[in-house]
Amino acid sequence: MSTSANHPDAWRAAIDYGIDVSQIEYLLTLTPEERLLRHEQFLTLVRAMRQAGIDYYGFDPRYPDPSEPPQG
Amino acid sequence: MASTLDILTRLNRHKVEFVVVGGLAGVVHGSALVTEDVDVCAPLSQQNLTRILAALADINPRFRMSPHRPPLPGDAERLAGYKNLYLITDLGQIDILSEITGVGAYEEVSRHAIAVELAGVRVHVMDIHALIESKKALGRVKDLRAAAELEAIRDRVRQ
Repeated sequence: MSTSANHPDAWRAAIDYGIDVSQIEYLLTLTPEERLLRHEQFLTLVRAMRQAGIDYYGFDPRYPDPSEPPQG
Repeated sequence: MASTLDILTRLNRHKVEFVVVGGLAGVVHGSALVTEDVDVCAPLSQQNLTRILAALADINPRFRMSPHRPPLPGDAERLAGYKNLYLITDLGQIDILSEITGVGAYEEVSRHAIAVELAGVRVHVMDIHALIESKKALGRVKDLRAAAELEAIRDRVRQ
């Protein structure tokens, strides 16, 4: 296993990677259970928005080619 | 309990040996990334497969990667030889993996697990160090991004 010694400034590296570290700072104030429940709420929203898109287009816009079946 | 997390409580209720890995494990450690499937590492022994089948029996488990999505057989012996099970259920996707790239098989993964409480249920989750190693070993763009995020979290937690 590598250690953080391999990445002396991983926080800086994450920022450079385009990661929103303010989100991480917030999430680290939550308990693991709170993080999972929050994730579940987002997932419910994502699925609802996806269904709205499918209803609008009349097909799943992730798979516009009918020969490419959705995996999900 | 909402659907995705309900899969975990079902596995736990049926005494399935498993460790949560992948994106959902990342969420436990503080990742902001949203994932749609439940990834677990589990021994695919006859005993554990029997428990897995019982846990998923009433949520319509099917093979996700097969074109016609055939149902999972009810008999564990018919799953002998599988290394991974990529499934879709009425509650969402679950991938059951017998080994994790960059970490190893279930025994090794379980050595790198922490226990968390989830709605009163104790669930084992891959620790952040092993999770970083697995993401790096996979090496895809999305995995490397996840590894960078987890390394930032690890450094911040250590401070």
